[in-house]
Amino acid sequence: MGPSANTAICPENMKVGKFLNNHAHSCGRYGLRIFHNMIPRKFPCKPVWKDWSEEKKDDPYWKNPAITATFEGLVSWKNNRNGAIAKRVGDVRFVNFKVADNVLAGIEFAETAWYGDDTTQINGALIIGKTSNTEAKLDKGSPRGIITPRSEGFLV
Amino acid sequence: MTLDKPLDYKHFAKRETFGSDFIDMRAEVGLLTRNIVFRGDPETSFTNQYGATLFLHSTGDDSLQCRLSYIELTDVGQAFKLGRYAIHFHMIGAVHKSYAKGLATHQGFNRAFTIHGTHYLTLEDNVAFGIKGHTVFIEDAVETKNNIKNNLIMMTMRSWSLLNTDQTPACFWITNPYNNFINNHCGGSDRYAYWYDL
Repeated sequence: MGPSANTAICPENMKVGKFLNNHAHSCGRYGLRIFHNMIPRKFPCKPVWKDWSEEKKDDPYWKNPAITATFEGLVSWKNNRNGAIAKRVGDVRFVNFKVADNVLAGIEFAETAWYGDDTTQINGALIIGKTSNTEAKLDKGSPRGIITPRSEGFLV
Repeated sequence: MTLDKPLDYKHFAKRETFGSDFIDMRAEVGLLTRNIVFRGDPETSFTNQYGATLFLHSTGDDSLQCRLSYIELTDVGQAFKLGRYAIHFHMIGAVHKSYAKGLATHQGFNRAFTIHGTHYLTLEDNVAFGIKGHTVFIEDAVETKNNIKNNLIMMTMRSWSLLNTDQTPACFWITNPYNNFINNHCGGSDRYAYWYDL
């Protein structure tokens, strides 16, 4: 906790800025790592509240709706674990990622949270196991394309 | 660019095509020298891990302007001392008119670009190579709307003389997600490239 810490700021649940066309390669662990929680929503410091009533069944989260976070165009290759990993996320989408030669997995999501079906997504990814740039150690492991979360509501 | 001797290590230079799509894995090339140099003592800095620092602080929004462009910073940062970074924006608030553009920062002992309690900063077209600890460091999780574009960060190394997180460093350590990261490149970080540590 730094000197700016106060209860009015909840970074885990804040709107996510632009993440566009970034490149990552040859890193010891992950190209992109989203750690602990990322559950962006309209009122970050208030809980997610699901309205179970019949008349709100099309928009059950209307009291504190999600703000979609789009990570777009990451190019991530030759990392010692994954091209990208997310620990526990809500309405977070990886769009048009290109990943190759990663030792553990191309893209991994560990867990989804809160915002219903199909809000956590991977769209339009190019996932390559091996290229001509690969190293011998990739043959010793058994890399995966996508490691999917252990919870529901995930869409590829 | 012409090379006058063979390279020691593999530098892959190819765009591989898969069906109608491709992935570009060409080696990064960055220029580390500039005509104007800001540096620590060349004789003792490396031995003592103790170099030059720039510290920017003023009270309140837009109370200072920092306009750095196309200079070289080397032998910078002071290990074991929190706050002594190559460039440290400290608790200023909004800095709409400030920027660091086209800087070449190399051999840094204690992080490189630290953004602390600062908003609307522009970090653009910078090259950083061989920095110990998080290289672009958003410190306190209140920082928002900083624009971080077109930077090349290479070989971020572990530091045992900072906080625990700097033992698993990232090129970009992001504690508040409401900042913009566009077209940055990170290569050869000891642990992570973009780490949203929320």
